[in-house]
Amino acid sequence: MKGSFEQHLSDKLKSAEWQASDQVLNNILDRRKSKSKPWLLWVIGFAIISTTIVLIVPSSKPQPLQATAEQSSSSPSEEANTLNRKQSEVVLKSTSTKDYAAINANKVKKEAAAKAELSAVEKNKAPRGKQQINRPTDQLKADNLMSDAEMPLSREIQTNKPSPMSFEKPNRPASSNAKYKDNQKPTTLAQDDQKWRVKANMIKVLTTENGGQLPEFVAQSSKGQSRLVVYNNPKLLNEHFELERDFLYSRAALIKKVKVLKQFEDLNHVNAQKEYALNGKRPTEDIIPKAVYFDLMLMPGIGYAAVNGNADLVAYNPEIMHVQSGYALGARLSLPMRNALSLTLGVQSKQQSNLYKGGIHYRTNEEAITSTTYYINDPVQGVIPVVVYDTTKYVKDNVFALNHSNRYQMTQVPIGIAYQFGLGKTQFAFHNAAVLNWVSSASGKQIDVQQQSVTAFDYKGKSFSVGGNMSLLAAFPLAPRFKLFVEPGVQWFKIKAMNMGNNFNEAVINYNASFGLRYTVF
Amino acid sequence: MMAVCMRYAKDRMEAEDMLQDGFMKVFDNLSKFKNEGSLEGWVRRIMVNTAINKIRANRLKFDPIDEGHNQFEVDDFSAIDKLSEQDIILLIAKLPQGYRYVFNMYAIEGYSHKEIADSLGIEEASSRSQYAKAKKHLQLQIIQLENNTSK
Repeated sequence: MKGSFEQHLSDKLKSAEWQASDQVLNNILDRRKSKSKPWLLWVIGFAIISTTIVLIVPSSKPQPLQATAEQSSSSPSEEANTLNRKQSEVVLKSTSTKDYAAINANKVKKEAAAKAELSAVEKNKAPRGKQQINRPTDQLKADNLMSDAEMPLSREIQTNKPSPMSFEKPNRPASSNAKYKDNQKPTTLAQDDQKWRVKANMIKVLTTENGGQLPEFVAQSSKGQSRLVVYNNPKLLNEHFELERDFLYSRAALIKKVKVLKQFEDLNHVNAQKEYALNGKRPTEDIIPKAVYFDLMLMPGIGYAAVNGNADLVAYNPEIMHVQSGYALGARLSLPMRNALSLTLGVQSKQQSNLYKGGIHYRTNEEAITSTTYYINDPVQGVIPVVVYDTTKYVKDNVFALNHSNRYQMTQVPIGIAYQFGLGKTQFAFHNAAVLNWVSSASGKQIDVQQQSVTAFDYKGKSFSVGGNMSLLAAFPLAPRFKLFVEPGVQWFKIKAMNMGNNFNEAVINYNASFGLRYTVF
Repeated sequence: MMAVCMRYAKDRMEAEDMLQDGFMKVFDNLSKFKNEGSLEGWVRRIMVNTAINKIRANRLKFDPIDEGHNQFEVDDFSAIDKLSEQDIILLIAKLPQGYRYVFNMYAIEGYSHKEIADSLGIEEASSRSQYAKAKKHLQLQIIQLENNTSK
């Protein structure tokens, strides 16, 4: 029972205040700043990923050109359009390596054809606005889809600013497209202009054969992991002023390049995509091959084996080093779904080891028995030794040198969804999965700081739990069907073996980075 | 919280070290606070645990102190009331380490002698005897300081 002295003193001191120096506050703030902030990394990572998606992934909504053609069919420039219909050239090319030779040959052929047209125009000296360039029939054969001369109109072409080429706009009649564009669609023009600038930056990256000139974006379409980009070719337009003008204001789209990300798409797929972009004709699913991926993965992982515990354990934490390490080996199959989504199914064997190293200080009550021998001179028996035993109690300082690992072996089955994005050769994908965990074994030592006991445990019973996994994949091409990928991520799982009465319960969040080989099945 | 640390530390520098370490633990473990009690109480507990942890690494020392020959018992508390909180804290801080911890934990924090013994790794009887000595010594110091102040 405490006396009133203690009570009085306690009441007085509990309200006591003592001003710490400013240096203390500064030191605390400095130490806080110097500590790592995992949540901040997540925020930064999320921001980077979000920005990447916004900048890289274009609008997947196709822009069928036929619809715009109908809208503008009654425009005042119909006559000019009729004149210019057959001037359009459409070149459909895949960016796969094997097609580059064909691309170059086709380009040379078209340049020669353009020069021939110019000669014809100069010879005819037709009145401005009424001239008609008659292209040779064999040149038009290059376009296997648009050679019917019924080239659909493109709002993009009408409203977009001309591609950033150094030429002057010709004076157009009052009924020309230029006037229509400027007077009737200012808002759309501004919007399209901004949209064009974004797209142009994107296309600039894709374009390697236009001498650095920005192409004029016409349309794009995306389906699954493939993307079709259609734009005017400024190189051809630059050859002659008249030709430039005709092409600029023609309603024909010049398909110069088809950027196909997936390496194994056949020409049918590309043609179907072009149809979709130009005519709004949705291709049938069976002609759109989508990739099925098979991933072989190695997941090394290292981290901080954080512990949970009551407030008393807080005092012990600084004295013990916690290192989490482990690895997983597995395989994953990725099956295409709608758009850029894929279903993923995998299996992996995971081993994790949480190392605890350091010293735990504690005290024990000990007893020491000391003996003292006295000798008595007995007149009869002579010298007799007498031993006196004395028991002394004392408190002994102990330091328990902690150096052990808790190990878990488990089989994991991640089932999830991947969202694939990216336009370059490098593929990106978000992976989210629910992970089924089967723990096959767990062993380690059980530390009870309060009881100052450390006992080994070997958990042989099988247990099941459900966790989660979130990761970002970046795959780099190695060979036509092989990619090397790296996939940093975070895994959450809570298994029974983590809480075997251990005062140090392992954290449920595990960071890891997978490395692996991706094989495109078909 | 600086006042709490001052009671356990021998000087201001040590108290500020305790305060820094304590607040780092508070920030690191703030997510574990479950709003089941007052935040101040939780923070105070962390500070006390930090102080206890600091002496765990070193053997707790109970150097002999002057217990005084008087059998004076402060019963009207006039001497305590006349002194400021800071003066009393400084008197407590002047106690040798072991006595200081036992006195603070028992008289101010409200720990039982068994809890103190478990926390500091000493005998319960030791805690009782050391507390009695510390209390007498502190009472003597309070009276002396009050007398000096009144002169």
